[in-house]
Amino acid sequence: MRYYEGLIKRKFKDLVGSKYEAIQKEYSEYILTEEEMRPHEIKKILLPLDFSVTEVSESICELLSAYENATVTLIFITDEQISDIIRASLDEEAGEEFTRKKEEYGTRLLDDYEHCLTSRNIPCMRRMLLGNKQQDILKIAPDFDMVAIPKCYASNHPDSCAVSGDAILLAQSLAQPTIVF
Amino acid sequence: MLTTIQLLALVVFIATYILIIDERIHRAVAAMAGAAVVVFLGIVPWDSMLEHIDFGTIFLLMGMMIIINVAQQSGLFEYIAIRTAKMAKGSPIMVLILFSIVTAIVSAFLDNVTTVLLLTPMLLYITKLMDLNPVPFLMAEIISSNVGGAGTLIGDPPNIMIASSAGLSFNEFITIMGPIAAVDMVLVLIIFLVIYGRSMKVTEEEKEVITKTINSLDEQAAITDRKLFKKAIAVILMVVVLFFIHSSIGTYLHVIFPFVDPSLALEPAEVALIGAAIILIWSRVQPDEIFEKIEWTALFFFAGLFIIVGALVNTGIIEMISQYMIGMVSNQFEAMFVIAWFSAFASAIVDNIPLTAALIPLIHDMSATMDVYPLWWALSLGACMGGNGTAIAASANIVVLGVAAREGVTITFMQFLKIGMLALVVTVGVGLVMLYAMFGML
Repeated sequence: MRYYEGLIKRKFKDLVGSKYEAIQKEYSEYILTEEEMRPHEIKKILLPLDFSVTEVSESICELLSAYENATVTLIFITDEQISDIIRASLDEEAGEEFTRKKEEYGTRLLDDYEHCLTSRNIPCMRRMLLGNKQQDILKIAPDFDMVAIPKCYASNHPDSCAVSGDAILLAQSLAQPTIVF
Repeated sequence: MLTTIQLLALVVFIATYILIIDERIHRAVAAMAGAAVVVFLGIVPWDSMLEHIDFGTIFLLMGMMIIINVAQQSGLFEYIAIRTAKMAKGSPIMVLILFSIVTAIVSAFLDNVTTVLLLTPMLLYITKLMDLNPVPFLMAEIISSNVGGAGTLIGDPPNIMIASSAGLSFNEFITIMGPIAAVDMVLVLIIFLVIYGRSMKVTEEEKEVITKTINSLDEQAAITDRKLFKKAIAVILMVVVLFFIHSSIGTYLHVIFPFVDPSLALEPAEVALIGAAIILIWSRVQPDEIFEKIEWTALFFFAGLFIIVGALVNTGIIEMISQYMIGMVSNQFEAMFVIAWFSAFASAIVDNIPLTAALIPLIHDMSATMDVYPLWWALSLGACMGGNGTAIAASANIVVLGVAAREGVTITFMQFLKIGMLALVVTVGVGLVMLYAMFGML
């Protein structure tokens, strides 16, 4: 049996060469791979938030309720670099004040989102972080099946932005399915 | 008793064929090495080496490779695969029947390896969608490719070699081997439906889902170059028409151009090369891109084989075997029987290309004592249908099994042998009876 398998492999390689790889590549444009055909199970959803998110999106809560048995993890990130700059340029107290105010805002936002989700029977967890809004999400995301990114996430002008650069970059960089809302 | 030189030629021949069967060394390298040895030993003198190479076969293969490579760039084969899948409308039995028929028809006019290489991924995809065992579908594809290829001069390398050496025309193949291939194809489909028909069931709901998924495939998107696609179809059709009239082309041309000699005839290799030249001029595809894709290893493999067999001819071994065979058979009926069955079972072990290369000079040699015309057809039948016998008997078998293995589908040697041998016995048996009837021997 082993000889037979080896023989077929040898003869196939000699007959076809690298043609099959090229054909596979062409076919991949029309037909789904086995992995693509398998429905992607969504169990853990990451929803990053920051100061630029000004209100709770009812529509995303509604959409996420479609994923039965999925848990949503809300993460509010305060930019550590800005906090450090304030500390360095003004004083320690000003830096503390900045972080405290942002965290107060974050707590309110997390409360609102938690309410929005739990009212639709979506189990959720919450975290507050001091760090980098883009890098930290890229680091955490592999533990999740899907990421829902607010369209103005990490934007300096949340009132006028269509889609923030960080939201686009995250959507492009993440391997998981992403929703930009 | 064999002389030393005869013994040497025979040893080189057997050693090369063992290397070809085992393929630990590339078969082209094995054939070239064998050829080098017989030339080095002076069994085939350098001056007469080229006489043994059948350039009709080499150039016909080369021309068709160029045409197919250009056509392949247009997405023609993917288009055919998607259209066939859609026509089946989610029915597994229809998938088996339609893919078998399409494979047989395409294999009859184009290269078997390319045909199955491009249709197998689609067949595997459909069987995965249907959640059915792909083995019967793949086996049907292999056997259809070999049966379809038997029907025309250009369908299978053994036919190309026989036609080139015996000077047989495309129309002779179509009128003699065409009906045999058609009848054998029907029988093969009946065999598959009887053996596997019951296991090929899906519910109506599943059928609907499968149909929806397959219908979502866009065959138009498969066409990478619409202009090239049309040109490729036009050239393939033109080449097929030219094949039909190649032996009497002068008669037709004389009507339009009176200066053309009415007895003018084209060799099949000329037709293929004309088609290749036209598609290259018309398509404006970079020739170096296409020439790179010519299967040079296959062409060198053929050239090497011709030289090694030439050594057997030069040393008189072929004549000895032919004399022995003539002594064994008393008439054409028996000779056809022996050649058809021997070539069928031997093809199943050796691979039908080297086997045909060895038997062609044998039949030529027998022409001294009998009319060998019917024997060529017995050889074509045996060599082509013998390709169904085992997993390694023909190139199409290897390609389908290789693709299947890469996609995680294993067809064991015994699994293949059971169906393959049944197909071999039925197709050769029925084909031989038809040949006897055609030549008034019944």
